Amino acid sequence: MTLEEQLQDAYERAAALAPVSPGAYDRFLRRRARRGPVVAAAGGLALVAVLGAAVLVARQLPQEREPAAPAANAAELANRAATAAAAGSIPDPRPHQWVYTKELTVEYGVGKPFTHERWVRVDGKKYVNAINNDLRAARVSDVRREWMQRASALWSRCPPGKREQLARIRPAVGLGRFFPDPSAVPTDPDGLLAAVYQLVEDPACAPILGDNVQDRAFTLIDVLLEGVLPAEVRAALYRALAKIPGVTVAHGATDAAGRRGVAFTRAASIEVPGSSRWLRLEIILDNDSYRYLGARYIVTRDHFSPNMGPRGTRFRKGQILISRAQLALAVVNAPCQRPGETTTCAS
Amino acid sequence: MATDEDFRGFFAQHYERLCRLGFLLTGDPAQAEDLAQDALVRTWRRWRLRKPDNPEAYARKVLVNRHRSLLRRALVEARYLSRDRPNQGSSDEHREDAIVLWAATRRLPLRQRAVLVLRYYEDLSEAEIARVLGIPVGTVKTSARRGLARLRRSLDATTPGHPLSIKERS
Repeated sequence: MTLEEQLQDAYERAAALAPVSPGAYDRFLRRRARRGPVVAAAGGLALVAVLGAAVLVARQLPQEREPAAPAANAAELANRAATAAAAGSIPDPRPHQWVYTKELTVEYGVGKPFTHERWVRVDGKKYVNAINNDLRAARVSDVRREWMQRASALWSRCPPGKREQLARIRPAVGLGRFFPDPSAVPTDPDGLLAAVYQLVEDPACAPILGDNVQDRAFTLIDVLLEGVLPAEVRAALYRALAKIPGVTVAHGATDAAGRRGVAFTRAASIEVPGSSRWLRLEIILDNDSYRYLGARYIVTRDHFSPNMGPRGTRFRKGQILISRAQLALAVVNAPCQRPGETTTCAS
Repeated sequence: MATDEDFRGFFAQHYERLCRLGFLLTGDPAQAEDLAQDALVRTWRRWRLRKPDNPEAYARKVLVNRHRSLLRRALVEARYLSRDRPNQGSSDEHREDAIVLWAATRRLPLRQRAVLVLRYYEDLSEAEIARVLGIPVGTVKTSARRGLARLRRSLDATTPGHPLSIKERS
């Protein structure tokens, strides 16, 4: 086969993976009726999302508490967050339970906000995805096959022995989510940070993309913080964050749901190489409880990318590129089960 | 209304294909459907006034142009790559070269990726691609050449039968 024929084959196969959910024409009719000027409609939806979140925040606000003075630096924020984390966490889940997360994502300038729910079995072997609360198309899938497919493409330049170790299926909770041998990872902040650096040191083998080792470490810890973690590990991760060069505190950070908090921030990249030169990531915690709220990418200087889009794309300093809010994190007993509900899907 | 029924037929015939094109451009099923829906709403608005000469090409052009910025691709994929956010659906017989090529395509600069997808998935000529993207034919040729060169390199970088070969493992 020539490369051209191979490409035709590859694209046909990849396109066949795109699921078309039922009821498309009905959705089209609703959208057609609903949408006046597209921009206005998107704004309206964002507003709904924010209002919805406001209700959520109102319900979760702790009562009668004296607001603390703002953390002066990353180390102080880390201390407070670590103390709060050490005080409480979700108990260790059993292997056949499921980690449930719900995340709201706003991508500024494109599309409308969407939620993404994910159930990952604690042993890491099965998962379910649902977009915008729609469970009709949700089905339990096998992590292993997906993971192998991705791993083979992503780690093609990683030495075989190491690559195989990385591609192993790992538990959905704790450090085991990234570390091939979580029991060997120290849980003191310095030891943990050293282990994180070691994991992401070689870009060809790192489970996270990024421009340099600090960038990858920062992003990797963000991903870990989204999950279910033992209290001492979460506490150590906060302290490790503050030790990464360039990490500072940002006050008044707002997540995708409009919740204001305080953030660890530093230069960080998205998939585009070199983007850490014009972007930073904020890892946002609740002002008061220091619970993980979400994260967002902010443009730190004007930038033009000639290869993005047919005419290139211009980014303005201060622009928020993407913002996420974690709306739920829980351990449940079955796939498709939401906390406090009984609906499940077959596994 | 005759227009509505015509359009419904058009929708039924082309929706899935547009979703798939959207998926190849974005790598994200939900966004793919969003793009397809959006393109069809816009096509319908135009159709209501006067049916485009080639509504399929019109819808495709709208879709490709809606998918324009880094945001859709990079933002989703940044998370996609760094998180346990596997694609919905997969297939046993998905061959390794195809996987590598698709993964490499997803990492191409957007213009190169759009050109290759339109060329090898939609089977458009260089002149047609130039019209859809609103760029000169010369740029289409350059983008295609560079994109193909990168894909070829990615294929060479993966030696056959390495330890993660899907065939061996599944």
